[in-house]
Amino acid sequence: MRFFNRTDSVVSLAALALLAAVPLLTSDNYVLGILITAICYAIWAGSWDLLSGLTGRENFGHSLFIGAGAYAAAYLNTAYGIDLGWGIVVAPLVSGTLGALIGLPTLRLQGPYFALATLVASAIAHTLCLLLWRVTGGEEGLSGILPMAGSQSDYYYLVLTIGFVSIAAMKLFALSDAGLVLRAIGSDEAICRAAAIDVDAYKITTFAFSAAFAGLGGALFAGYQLTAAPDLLSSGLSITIVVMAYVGGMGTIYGPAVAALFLALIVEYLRGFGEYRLLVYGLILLVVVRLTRHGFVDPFWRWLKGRLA
Amino acid sequence: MSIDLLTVRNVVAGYGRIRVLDDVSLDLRQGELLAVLGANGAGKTTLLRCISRMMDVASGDILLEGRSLKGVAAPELVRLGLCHCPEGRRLFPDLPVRVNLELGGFIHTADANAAMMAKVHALFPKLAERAGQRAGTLSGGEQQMVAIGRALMGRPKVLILDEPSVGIAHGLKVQIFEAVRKIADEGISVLIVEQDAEALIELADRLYVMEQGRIVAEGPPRMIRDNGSLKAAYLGM
Repeated sequence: MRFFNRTDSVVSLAALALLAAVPLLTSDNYVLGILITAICYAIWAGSWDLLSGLTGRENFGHSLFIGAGAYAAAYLNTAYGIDLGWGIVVAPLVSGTLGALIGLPTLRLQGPYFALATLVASAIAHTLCLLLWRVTGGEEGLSGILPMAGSQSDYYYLVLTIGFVSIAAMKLFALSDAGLVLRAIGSDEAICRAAAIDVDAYKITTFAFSAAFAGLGGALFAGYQLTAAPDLLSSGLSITIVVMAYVGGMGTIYGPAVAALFLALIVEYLRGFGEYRLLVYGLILLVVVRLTRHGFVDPFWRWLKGRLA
Repeated sequence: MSIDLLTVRNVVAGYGRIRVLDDVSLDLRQGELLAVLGANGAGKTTLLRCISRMMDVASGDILLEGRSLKGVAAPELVRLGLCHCPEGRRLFPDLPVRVNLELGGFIHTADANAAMMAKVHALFPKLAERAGQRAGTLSGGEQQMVAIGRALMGRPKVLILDEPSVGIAHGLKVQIFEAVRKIADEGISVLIVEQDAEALIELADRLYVMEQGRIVAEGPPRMIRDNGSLKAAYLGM
């Protein structure tokens, strides 16, 4: 096991401390809400990277697992009155199981077919969600979730803690021997098979983990919105996450997570541009993708570390 | 008395309706360096693909230590003692040399891998020097050494090498062939497929010559060396 180096650990703990200090500086629920959303995006982008960044198998249906987690937690709460805390525990199990089931047939596909299969799977889930409106609430979604925490800042601390631990756990996984095998699979699957590596088992297990963390983020997001809406299953969300991961630098886990955090905040604070907001956002993305081959987070951090050393 | 480790018995195989292997039989004995020679398109790589279960045979059978390989999955072959070093090297270019080798010994313990790594380093001292370097930055010949080393890390009884000399400088080619000879001398049976016949004729214990999906000649190197018409017709020498 290769552990974090000291600079990485110190800086990530400092970032955590900074985020933890926000509720002390402002009691503005709007700011905390944006940060909660941004942290959820960070979990989603990091979990996407776990499979897709390491193995290069791009998942274009990540929203399926986000939505599944959100709806699982929302349904347990609104239909059975089960506390949201349990929903947050159950959601990753539901999404993880779905990940394994969907990964089982689709991860054997070669070329672009995995991407297409996941895109289609999430489209089916989205349509089913609208068709089964008696259970899912249709367009309206499932609303009326009972809040878990007494105040926005309490919930913010919960999301921040879970988000930080999740991303750290995923990063450790990526640095472990299993992460190394996944990178090797991304490089040449046939050679891994020739070395007796059970390629399918690795990919499917990792997909399940990736989906589970997505579901966890979905449940946290639903717990903040107090609603699970069909938007969470949309392909638009999946593609947003893919873009965030690209901009952050695939295969580094923290890159996509940090990029997601920033991009979610940027989108919010670009509201000043009115209807030009998405145009500006798009331009920023174009410039980043054009100028950097491996995203901006990881190269920037390496450069900065080089300067500090 | 030598034992047959690998037996290919009357194998017919092809892609769709195109027959590439037509009734091919050969046997590989314990600790032997066996070369299969032949021009492009003779069916050499297809034969290796059949042996390492990347492709099914239409008829005939392939036996490893007397056991049929029919229905055995490719990854299982390593456990049975057969490692394939494919054409074109196919390393993990972004990973260090050491890790490339370790992944070859994926099914073995760390201790076993450390011992085998020492043997690989003894065989290819360059790889010890370059252990921490990204494999993609090595020269073609050095990459081939990594590829062979990686296959050895699986601790094979049978090592299969597909055209290890392609695109490699002459000096390194000789080094690689000498290393292959040493591997066989240590008791690992080697089946090597090559277009560069000249270099191998001196080193191999036995040779097969393939032409259009058939074995057209078999024997010790002396037989081929002394047979001018065979050399001219099939090996372009």
